[in-house]
Amino acid sequence: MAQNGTPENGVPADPAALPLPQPCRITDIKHTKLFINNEWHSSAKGKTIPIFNPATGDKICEVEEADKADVDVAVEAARAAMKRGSAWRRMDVSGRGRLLHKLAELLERDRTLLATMESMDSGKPFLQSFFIDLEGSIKTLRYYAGWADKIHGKTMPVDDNFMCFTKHEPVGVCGAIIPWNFPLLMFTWKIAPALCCGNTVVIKPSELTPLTALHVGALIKEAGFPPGVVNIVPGFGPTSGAAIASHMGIDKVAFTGSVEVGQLIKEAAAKSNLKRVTLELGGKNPCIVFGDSDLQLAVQEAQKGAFYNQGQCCTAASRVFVEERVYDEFVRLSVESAKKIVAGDPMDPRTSHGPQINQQQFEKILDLVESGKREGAKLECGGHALQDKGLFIQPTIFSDVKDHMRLAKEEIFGPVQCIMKFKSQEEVIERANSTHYGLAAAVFTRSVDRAMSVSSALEAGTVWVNCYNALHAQAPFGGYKMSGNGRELGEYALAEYTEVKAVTIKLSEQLTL
Amino acid sequence: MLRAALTRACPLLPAAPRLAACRYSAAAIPAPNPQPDVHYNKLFINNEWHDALSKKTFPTINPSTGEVICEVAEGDKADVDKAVKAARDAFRLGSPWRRMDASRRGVLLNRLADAVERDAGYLAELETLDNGKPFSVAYSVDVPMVVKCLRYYAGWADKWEGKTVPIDGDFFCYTRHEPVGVCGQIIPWNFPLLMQAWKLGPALATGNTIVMKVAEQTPLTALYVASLIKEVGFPPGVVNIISGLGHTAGAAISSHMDVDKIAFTGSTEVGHIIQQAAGASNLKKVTLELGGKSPNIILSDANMEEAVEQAHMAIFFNMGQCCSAGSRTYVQESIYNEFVERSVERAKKRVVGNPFDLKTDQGPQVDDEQFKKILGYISSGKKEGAKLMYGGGVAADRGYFIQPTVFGEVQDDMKIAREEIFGPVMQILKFKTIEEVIERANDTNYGLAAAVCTTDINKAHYISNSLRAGTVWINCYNVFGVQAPFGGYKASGTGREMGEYGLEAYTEVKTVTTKIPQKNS
Repeated sequence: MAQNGTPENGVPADPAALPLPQPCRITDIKHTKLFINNEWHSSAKGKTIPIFNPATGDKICEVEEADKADVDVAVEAARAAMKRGSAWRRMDVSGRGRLLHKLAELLERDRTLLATMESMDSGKPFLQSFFIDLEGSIKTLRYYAGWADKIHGKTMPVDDNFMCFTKHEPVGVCGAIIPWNFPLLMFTWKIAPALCCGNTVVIKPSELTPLTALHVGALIKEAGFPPGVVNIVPGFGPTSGAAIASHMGIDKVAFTGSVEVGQLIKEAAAKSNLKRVTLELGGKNPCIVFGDSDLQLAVQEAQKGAFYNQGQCCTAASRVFVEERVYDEFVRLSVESAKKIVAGDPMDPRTSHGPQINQQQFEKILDLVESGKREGAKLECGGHALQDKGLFIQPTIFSDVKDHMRLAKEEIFGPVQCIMKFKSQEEVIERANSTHYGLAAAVFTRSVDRAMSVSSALEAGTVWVNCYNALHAQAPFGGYKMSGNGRELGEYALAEYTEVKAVTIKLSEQLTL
Repeated sequence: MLRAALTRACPLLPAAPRLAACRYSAAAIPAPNPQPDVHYNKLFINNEWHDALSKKTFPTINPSTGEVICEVAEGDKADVDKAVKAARDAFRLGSPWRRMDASRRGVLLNRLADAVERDAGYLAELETLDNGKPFSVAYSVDVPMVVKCLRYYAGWADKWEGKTVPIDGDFFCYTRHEPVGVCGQIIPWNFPLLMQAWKLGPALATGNTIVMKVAEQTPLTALYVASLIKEVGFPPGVVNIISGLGHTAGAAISSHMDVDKIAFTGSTEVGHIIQQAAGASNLKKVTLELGGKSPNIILSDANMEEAVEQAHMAIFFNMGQCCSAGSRTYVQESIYNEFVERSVERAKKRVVGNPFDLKTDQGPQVDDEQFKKILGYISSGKKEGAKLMYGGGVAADRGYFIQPTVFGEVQDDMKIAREEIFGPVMQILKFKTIEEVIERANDTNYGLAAAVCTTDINKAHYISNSLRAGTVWINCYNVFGVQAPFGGYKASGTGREMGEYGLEAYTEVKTVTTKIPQKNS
């Protein structure tokens, strides 16, 4: 996603010449209710969730809180929209593509508003929201718009006198549960392939960051998706999330979030109706820097990997392995660079570092930082909350981190870079793979052989060579081992949202005239 | 593509299953301006308008009246050289077009589709003026199909994936799908806008640059689309459009040493010349979409009403000027007489006249040459003993109108059963057995399309599997989905257009193999 923000080739070459976008003033949040059947609903129990701006601690608004009963209503709507003969089922596939395209255009139209809202709600710097989250969301919608009429079945040359063909059909009602770190981007990663394949969706945004999803609900209606095709039910994991995961009327659930909750979801799916499950979970991603690499580039990219989005990325480069002979230099340059990071008001275009999402995350990160100090890692910079007020944490670097320390084992999800030393290629591969996680990894080297060998040896669903966080709508993303099941993005994601039907027809050659 | 028109034209058919295709009801068609302004009549090179270097022009004719619409710049070899140079330059390594993200190419193609959609009414008017096809068809079939084609290929731009290949040994191997380079494209006059889109869509999605020659009978809409190409932001030189004649501009493209690939849609005769020119010059890649003499086989168990209607539209759509025209209607003996009778009745209902009139089904043929050629075929049919059941003459005292014509008792060896007429002339032939009709249907050098009408699942599959044709329709005709490939067996062509298959013609595959220290699965 970080790469998505770069100005596209073929477009005016000098981005500095373009005026930077400015956040807009949002005085009133328009959409705060549950979005079901293209209508806005109050929650059945009449409960609401207060939504806070993590940069200021101020309450933005109250949002209706979905619970099991509301999920039931949403599933019913999604089922009705999925009924054979419905407008959605009878729509040309190219028509589905058109709708996704229209939705992309509406996001483009409301881009400033959405980026501002995303920053208010999640604390991420406005320019990052605008150039990365919104860009990535729009591109994801456009990408899957194009797939809608290109999901080909096959004809199979089966033995004997039969004709056999496959059809790729939608799975049905797809539940989706998404996190707070990229609220809008994760929303589009889920709905775009699901809708492209003809499914209907019941999606639960995080209780911390539901605002952009609800605004997009209004855009979904405006684009012309039939009622019930997308239903949005903000709420808490143990209530509405659990209701989705164990619902007998949901055919598939896709979850992005922590490993613990991923396990609960797969269990609930198994206990209820064996719904299909895709999971995109945590990571403890190794970023391996060899002595022959472009060190400046490696420092920049590793730092982007560690601090981007306040470290709140499942792909975060949270274990940086640096070859012995460049280790000291790498640490020195990293500290120098970290000190230049500007933390502050997310709406200020100069800001590149905002607050953590909430008190709980804030405390968890500081606790891990303390553990690092206690366990003997060397604190190079940062290590504290940034101000007396608010949820800001200084970009923090630890060197001399050892594999057994909590810092090196647990997902921190905060702006903490842990730098470790290694001697040989074999050793670092072994150490990099010695984790239950397997989401992403990176290697920095100028050697073709080493790039090929190490990328091949790493047990991770994504490997970046001389780059970091280079996510694209066209390329699949997902985890080995406990980092997940299945893949999102790219053509691969379509497989998660389709059932394959093989139709075999007996051909008789005894033809009567 | 033709489905929408077909549906509108046949209110007798059961409505429900066809509604999905019937987007463009007659009520939604706006009243056309029969005298649309012509804005562009020059050569489009490097996103600029040029006179021909020779300063020559040619007249483009309104086939409804025989009158000149306007003069158009006549591109020649020298202009083709200029266009190829522009295309080559736009294709050089490091150019904006080569460095552009694939997804961005998709965005540009989508914008082009939006612009065509915005100007749909005007484009349909201009198409009708220049080509003679009924405005209702241009507006509800040709233009929407153009939009769909561009959108479809827009989507492919960032999905045309290479592969990684697990080769033996300590190697890593992958393929890249790269553009071929400068593509020459020569398109016909029967679907000027649509054939342009069929060529632009896949070539631009895959990142090529283009030198296109449009037919001298119908250059106007393509030149207007050129202005849209510039408007939506394609870099200069990516698309260059030359109006001109086949034996000059067309020949210059097909024998050009700096054109990497040529795609041609037109007659089989010219297809031969083009492939020869490609061979004699630089062995450029060639794809051809040529003529047909497509069999439409009606079995005795078919739904008679539907079969008559489909066979009628199969041959008469677009004044019979379709490479896919169902020009050999084979009808099983037991229903032959009734079928012929009903086909005549149906042909009588066909409204011939001013193509700007929304009630008109059939406009003029495209030009005097075609007009005379078709009349020649009609008299050969009469001479060779086919039974003229209806029509056979000129339908108006000016313009190139021909009556819908139906021949019965046609034999396989007659000229009208062997040669492509490209006019509103239906040949109905009789057959007895399935084996016989398969044999006869395949006994032609052509192999573009074919159809079978039957309610029997076994016969449907047996016959469709046995026909030597690139497209087979079962219980339908002229159904063109942009998602499905189209192209010919035998002398009907080389390669496929449309669908994912259509991308192959515009792609070079590069295999990259890297030595690695040690392979692991």
